[in-house]
Amino acid sequence: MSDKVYYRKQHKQVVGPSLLVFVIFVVGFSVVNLFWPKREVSDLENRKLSQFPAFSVKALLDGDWADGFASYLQDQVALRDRWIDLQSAVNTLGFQQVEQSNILLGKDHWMFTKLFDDSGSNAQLSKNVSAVSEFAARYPGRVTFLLAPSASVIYPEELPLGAPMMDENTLLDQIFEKIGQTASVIDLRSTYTAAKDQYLYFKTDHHWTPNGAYLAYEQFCHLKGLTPFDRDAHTTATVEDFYGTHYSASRWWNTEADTITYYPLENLMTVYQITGEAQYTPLKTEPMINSEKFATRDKYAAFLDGNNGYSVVEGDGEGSILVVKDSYANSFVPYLTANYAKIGIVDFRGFGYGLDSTISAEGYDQILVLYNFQTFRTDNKVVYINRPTTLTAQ
Amino acid sequence: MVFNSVVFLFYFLPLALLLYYLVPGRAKNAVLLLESLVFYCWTGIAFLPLIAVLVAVNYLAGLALQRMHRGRGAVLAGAVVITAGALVFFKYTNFLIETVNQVSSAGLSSLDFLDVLPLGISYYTFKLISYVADVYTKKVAAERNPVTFATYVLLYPQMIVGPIIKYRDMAVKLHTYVDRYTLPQIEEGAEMFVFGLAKKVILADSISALWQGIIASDGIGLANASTPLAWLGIIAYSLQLYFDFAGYSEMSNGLSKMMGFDCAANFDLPYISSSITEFWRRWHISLSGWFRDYIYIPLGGNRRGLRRQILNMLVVWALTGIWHGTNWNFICWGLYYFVLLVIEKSFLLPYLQRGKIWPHIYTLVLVVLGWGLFTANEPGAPLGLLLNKLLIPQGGISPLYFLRNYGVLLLVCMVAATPLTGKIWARARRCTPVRMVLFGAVMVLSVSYVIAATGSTALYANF
Repeated sequence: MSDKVYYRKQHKQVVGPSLLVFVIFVVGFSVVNLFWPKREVSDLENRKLSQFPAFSVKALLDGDWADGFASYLQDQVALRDRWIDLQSAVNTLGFQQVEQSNILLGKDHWMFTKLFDDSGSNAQLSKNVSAVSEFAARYPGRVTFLLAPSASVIYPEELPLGAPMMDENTLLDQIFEKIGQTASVIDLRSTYTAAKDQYLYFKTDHHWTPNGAYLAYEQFCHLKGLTPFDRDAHTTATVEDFYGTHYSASRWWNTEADTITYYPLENLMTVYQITGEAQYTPLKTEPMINSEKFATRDKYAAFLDGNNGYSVVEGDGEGSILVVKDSYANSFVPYLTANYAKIGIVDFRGFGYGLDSTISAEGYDQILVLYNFQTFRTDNKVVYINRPTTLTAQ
Repeated sequence: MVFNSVVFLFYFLPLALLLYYLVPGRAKNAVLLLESLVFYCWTGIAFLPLIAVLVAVNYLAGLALQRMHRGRGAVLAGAVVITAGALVFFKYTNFLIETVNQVSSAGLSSLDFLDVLPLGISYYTFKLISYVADVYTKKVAAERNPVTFATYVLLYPQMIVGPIIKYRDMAVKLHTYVDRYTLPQIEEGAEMFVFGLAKKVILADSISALWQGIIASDGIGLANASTPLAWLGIIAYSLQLYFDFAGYSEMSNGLSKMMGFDCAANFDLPYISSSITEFWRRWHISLSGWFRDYIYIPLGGNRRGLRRQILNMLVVWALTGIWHGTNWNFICWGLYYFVLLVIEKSFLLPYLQRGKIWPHIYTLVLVVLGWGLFTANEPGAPLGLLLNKLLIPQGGISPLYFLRNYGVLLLVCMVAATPLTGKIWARARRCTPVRMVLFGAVMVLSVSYVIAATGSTALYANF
């Protein structure tokens, strides 16, 4: 054996390819970022974006300015919407995830709100149930309670495999049982299940469709002995390319746009400013469907022009009804114009008083409490319904 | 400022590196110190005096130890007491007050200003102690230049979550003013940084949602989980911890490397270990090394008989536990490892070394159970309930959905915890176009996760 050692000529390593990529990307993107136009709001994310923070020496020294600056950069980063789309695509395509930002990505382009909370955390729900039931006991025969089930209750087979959803069916049974003791209740589950091949819920949004709302309305008319709005006598209008809140949150690459088909009724609605308990000053009067909003991203907000604290729609029927509601009612109320002369609408998100004074001052005959299950379960303002009035003191 | 944020990646980092590369060799340390100060003060200057005093004390102690012949022990003791005292005061006072209140009726009120832990204090105090101890034992000469010394302590890549790199391992480079770094070194550092970022933002942050989906307030609730789901959850948490911390350490070492400092790896694929002893040689290496060099060996290590050795181990593991957080579950977690290591040391290790598969399973099961203890201070995961769920087979919400949603991610994480990914990369980087595309893709994807997330800090920053 020879002791001679043969050195292979060292393969010349090409220095720099990764470094080149790194420098081009980091420096290039930093520069692009500097000149990228800044935005006030993100339509897609449906929120205000952080702006350049006000500078002060104090804020700089205690770290507040740095916090603000960091979130400003994070929010205003160049191509932000595309980056988020990319991340969502990697999660859903690469990692095959069926959940993105608390939205479940189901079969056939369905998206659902993730409702996995354990049943122990329904404290707010029981408060709300008691509140409505107590309220209805004060107005015997005048209160109707309509609670729309979640889309996942009607279309459980479209949920991702094995999704441990909370037992909404049992909760709905309990809710209707309790509130049914003092109010008329409308449980849509059998109607909806029978009509489940109709377009009841948007797939990209957490609302029902105007058609879903109509089925609920029909059931309401049936209960009240009213003749429903005649759909055959009216023509519909259609708005394409609706990408709702589920899409905004999940940014699912596999989204199929929704379509809004509605009846372009021209009834006027007056939105009021609430100046005190049961004191209202008209703010604006406009058609109850603000079709300008169909051109924006938040298309559902066209109905009743979004969520206002107190507004009144002029109907073509007789008598009056007060609707206490979340946004599900917005596409429901237009049908009521066929039956009532005056439709009052209260949304507790902008209405800080109890209802008794308004009912007596404005003289409402009927009261409809309309929510969907998800809002009703968590909304801590439903209990305002029983706030005692401050007006009867004298 | 966390590394996984737009402000760090596209503002601080390019500017800091550019400045560092542009200034002449002699000014590099000063520039690095300045950058580290900006980084340190980013969240406020409240604790700047603290770190300044500790740097000054240890700097002067180092000089004194270098020159003195008598009374050196007192100087060392003084410096260590002040430094460790600061750590104990800021980290443990409120915990001690609570404990005293629980066992007595003293009713002491806790101190509000201690609610926020000074940034990086668990890490830089350990760096300082290692420095004075090494000067005392003459392993390294004292640093004469205060700027250089402060640069070592405040070095921004190591500020938030270490690693605890000793001064003696950085001294040579800190005094190298010409050719401190080479181009291949910068490139390797950049690769390390990007792969560390990917581990943190793509793997750790995504898989964390599994465990949170069980224990968080909007999750299903641990009480409703079945035993298989509880195990799946704690496995996911184990992977999250590893990628979170190893990823952050890799980012840190990558940054240091880009500036010319080669720092030893802080993690070496710990989940492939075949014994707990081996696990602790691969997990958070800089911390276990610190405890070995500055607690265990000074106490006599294994040179004073078995009983003394076991006592020394007890001290080390109780301290390791409490270092991780001010809660009893961390102490339990430390003692858990003390018991396991004593068992291995006294008889089990030879059997483990002979086994092939079962030692790996044994190690993983015990480590994962250990993380159960570790996470037991979180509100949704009380220890009793967690152990009940893990150890007593029971029904509840099945893991089906979680496997469906996280299955691919879990697999990717598991593979990434083995040497396989490293091997693939070693082969891929030989072909330049493949290397560029792969590296670029990992970088772009990581950035998309940084932007889409709200920028979570490293778990280990709280320790």
